[in-house]
Amino acid sequence: MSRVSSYALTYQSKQRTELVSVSEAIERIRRGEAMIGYEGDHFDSALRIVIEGLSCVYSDGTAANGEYVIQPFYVFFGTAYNQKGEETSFTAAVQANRY
Amino acid sequence: MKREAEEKLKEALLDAVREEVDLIERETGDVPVSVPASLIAATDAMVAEVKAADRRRRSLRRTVVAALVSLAACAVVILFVLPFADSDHETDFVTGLQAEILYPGGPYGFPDEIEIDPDRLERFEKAVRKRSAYFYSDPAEYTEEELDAIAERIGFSPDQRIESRISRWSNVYENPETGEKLSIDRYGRYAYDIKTDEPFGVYSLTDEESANAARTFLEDHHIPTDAFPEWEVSATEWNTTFTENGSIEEKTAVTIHFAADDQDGFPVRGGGISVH
Repeated sequence: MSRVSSYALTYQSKQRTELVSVSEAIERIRRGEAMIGYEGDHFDSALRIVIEGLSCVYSDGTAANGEYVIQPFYVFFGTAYNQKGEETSFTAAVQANRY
Repeated sequence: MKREAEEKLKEALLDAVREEVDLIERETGDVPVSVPASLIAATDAMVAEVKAADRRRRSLRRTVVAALVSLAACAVVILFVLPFADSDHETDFVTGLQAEILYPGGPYGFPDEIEIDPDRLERFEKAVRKRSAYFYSDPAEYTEEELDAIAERIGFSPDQRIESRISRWSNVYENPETGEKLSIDRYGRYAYDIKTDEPFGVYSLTDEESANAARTFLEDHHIPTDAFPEWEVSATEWNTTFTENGSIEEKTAVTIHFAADDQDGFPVRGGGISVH
């Protein structure tokens, strides 16, 4: 048995949106307004992260009002360090448009 | 004479594209860029130049996508970088929508300290300052007849519809002979179980190989694949656990991500098809 799922949506509206500064995006990470993950199951929390790269992507999701949207995200990546002194890689996705 | 003029024009435009790509990449450093659509003229040489730039950013993009999927399988990254926009056309942010990410706060712990090299930060700031992006909303809804048409392409007939979007927001079809069911919601999203003895499994393949394997599988089972632009074959593969009939088994799932590059072709289609 195989299961096929399609979740394609055809969006009818688009609006140009200004991107927030990278500094502001980093503040969003500090405020916890980000999706962050670390490489490796044992690494569930970091003491310190060092940002080494940045990419801009679009991600789809559900807005606060329940509507499906596609919006720009910054994805930061680099090295994370935990309290034991271990290091691993991390990614942090942050909404890049204003809200 | 006319041909000479055309050749000169092509060469001039091509030089402009090359110069623009070099300039953008010098300015943006680690940030992947795309070429402004206005500079992409219909010459083979230019297309080749753009494709070369596209390959470079795809390499990084695959890394980012794989990382994100490991965070949350339901977070779908739409695979194109931000369009490079003229700052003259930037406007205030859209109003009325408070968009938020899937897991505000994140499933993992947050760091106490965030560091970034000042020079690197300045380079990033400069790269994004001139950019703006797009915000997509208002997904199209389909009529019941349009959903029937999608079902027919998959292999179900309208008279096999057992539930209607009018009452459930989804059309559900059932083949009485095989027991197979298809569900299509009002946005055209569908889920379909295929009873097959041929397990779909791809392991340790490249993105493109995974995407092609999934595409072949879909075509073999008459699943519509017209949503895939030819240029987009990137896929994400991961191992996951499914429970069927009380047993647990590991399977490989592949999601093909796609998006119509709307710089010239809005409306955009975003999302993906997954097979496991």
